Amino acid sequence: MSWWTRVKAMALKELKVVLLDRRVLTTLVISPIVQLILFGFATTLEVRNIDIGVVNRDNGVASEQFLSALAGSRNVRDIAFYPSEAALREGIEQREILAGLVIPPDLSAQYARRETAEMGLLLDGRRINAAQIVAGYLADIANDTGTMLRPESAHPEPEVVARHWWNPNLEYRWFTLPGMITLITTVIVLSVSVQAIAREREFGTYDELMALPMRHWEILLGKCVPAFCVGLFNGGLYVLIIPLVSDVPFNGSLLVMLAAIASFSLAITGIGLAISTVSQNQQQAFLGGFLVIVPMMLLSGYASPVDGMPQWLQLVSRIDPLSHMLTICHGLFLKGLPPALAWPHIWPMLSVALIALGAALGLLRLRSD
Amino acid sequence: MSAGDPLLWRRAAAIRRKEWAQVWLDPSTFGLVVLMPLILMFLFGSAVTLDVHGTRTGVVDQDHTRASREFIATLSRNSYFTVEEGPSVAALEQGLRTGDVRGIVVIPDGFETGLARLQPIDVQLITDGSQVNTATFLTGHLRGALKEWVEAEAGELDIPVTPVLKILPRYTYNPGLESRFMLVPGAIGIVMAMIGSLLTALIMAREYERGTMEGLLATPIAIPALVLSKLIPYYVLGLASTALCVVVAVFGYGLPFHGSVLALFLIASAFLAAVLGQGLLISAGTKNQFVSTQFALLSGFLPSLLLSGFLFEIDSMPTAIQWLTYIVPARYLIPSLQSVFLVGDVWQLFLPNIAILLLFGAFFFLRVTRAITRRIA
Repeated sequence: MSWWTRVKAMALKELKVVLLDRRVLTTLVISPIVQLILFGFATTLEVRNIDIGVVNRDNGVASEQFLSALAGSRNVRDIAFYPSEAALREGIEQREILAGLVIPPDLSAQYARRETAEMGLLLDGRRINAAQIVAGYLADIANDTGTMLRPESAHPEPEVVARHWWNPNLEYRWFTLPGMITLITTVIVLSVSVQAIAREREFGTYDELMALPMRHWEILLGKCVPAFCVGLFNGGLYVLIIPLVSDVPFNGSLLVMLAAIASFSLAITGIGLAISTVSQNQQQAFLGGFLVIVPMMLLSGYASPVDGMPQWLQLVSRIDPLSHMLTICHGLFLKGLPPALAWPHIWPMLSVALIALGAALGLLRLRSD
Repeated sequence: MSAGDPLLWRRAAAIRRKEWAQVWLDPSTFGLVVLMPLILMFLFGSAVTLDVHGTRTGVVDQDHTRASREFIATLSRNSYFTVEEGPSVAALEQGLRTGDVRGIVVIPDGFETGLARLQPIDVQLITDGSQVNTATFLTGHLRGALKEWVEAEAGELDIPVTPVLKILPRYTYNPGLESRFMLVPGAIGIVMAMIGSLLTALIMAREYERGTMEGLLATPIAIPALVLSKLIPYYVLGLASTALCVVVAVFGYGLPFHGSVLALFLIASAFLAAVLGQGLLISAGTKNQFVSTQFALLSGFLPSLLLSGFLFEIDSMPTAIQWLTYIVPARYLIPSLQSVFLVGDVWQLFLPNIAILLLFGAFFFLRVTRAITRRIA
């Protein structure tokens, strides 16, 4: 019997284990699609529907103009008036409002005297990110209202004219949806691969597995198949689904995308199998996988940009297959990344696959001695 | 068998001991309860920031004057940018495509003369639109840097710059604008959600899968007592893990802790009741460890991360998804957790949230009890 026949038999058996359980199969197909739709559309960094509290002690033209501009902003949902600054603070404390504006009594007088009229803005520091964005919105509104009140005050000065390539309206979805391919494929491939050997241990069939007339690498290769196929299937599915359910374009080569998904799935499968060989049961395998997955996700650049991380973590991020896959997904969907520029991100994933599978093989040999 | 029966308590204690033994004998539990919180606290405290620092930005100077050089020098000193100069946009374009730079600033010919003669000049910025967050921040930071620089220059050149209206922002509870003040309490919520739903998702499924569930059910003990006995060790683990996180947050990352330990204990207990119940229900419902973990990830971990208001503002989500967040227990945890650190004991905020979480807990507990009972019948 050639090695190929043995590996094929092993792979078929492994596939059956995964695919014959209807609940498992449903989980493998339904769960990623739900995630894609739910989380792809839920995450946005824009801040909309803001509730703002106002203490207005000025009844002149300046506050009137500013408040009407504020009410007209598409990001503001509700403006609530509060009797005092203390009430405003309490409103913020209990999260009724995100920001509180205090308009001093002499605002319009200051404006009439041609001084800079200043308003205080109190923001909820618990939600520091949204608070900063809201402060930015209000500063813009103040600026526009000022120009409207006194047009001659607008003197020409250098301005930044921004153009956003590949996503002119900065749609956040265009970032999340291609990125989700990486995250969901990771979760599903790792979940399947970490169980491969740990399950045999838990059910006591590990010794039989080792007693098979097969070499270690043949067993490992057979064990790779289900996770790898699941990754390829799911990854491929999203590439088709995303342009269908959203307005995110796909500008790259489908072939390069498939090559990237394959290399990536192989890398994650390798990592999963390495964890699986050192696990005694499914719980250990699953938790071990989780322990590896979460840091890889957070360092990939999806949750937060790599540039802002400490130097040594940026280096770690370079060997994180997720960070390369993320670059390829964004590159191929939005930027039309040519194959020559995709390759520098594909070979690191293949290297990780090789090293992880090598480690899994070494551990398997070590443990069976 | 009445509730006061001493045998019942002994039996419940025995199951609790068995569950503890199972917990301690498995090193992966230690990994989840000690190692994972430490890793998560470190990552959310040191690696993840919502603001953007040190963004690699290409700069093309087409003006070659004193003013343009000075402006570029100002940008280089600014911590938001890591400046890389290039001869032309075309030369930097490939870097933008591969993600080596996230934006290109073009200082046009005539920048200095325009400034002196009060003519409008456009400084062009090209961003990598695929990185939406970075592009937004980059635009904002460049605008800010340019405005500041022009105002300083204008002072020297005697150009009057007085804005008509101005907003003076003040950030309560977090005057230093530390994004970790927001992220670290959120990370504690994630740790609790993980221990709650992931660890417990495995425990019943494992009994079913190994066929030991029948033996457990044959124990002469009422189902609610059985369920409670199984839960208590994990509740204690969850609390221990939370305590560890709080210590790291306060002493490692300098977070203030303005609330009381009692308030934190109540909030954590209520949340753990909800997620432990959720995990156990998944476990008893699926009876398969693999399906169970996938469900726990999908309905426990990911919603806690994405739909709780921890990273993304709930008010900004599409309406349908906003409705969905009402059934995510973490939604009722995050505001209280952030407040107990940064504000103090805001009971008007804590009490309704604690009550809702306890209701979740009671609901899941009843469902678990019923799911198990039905099975024997």
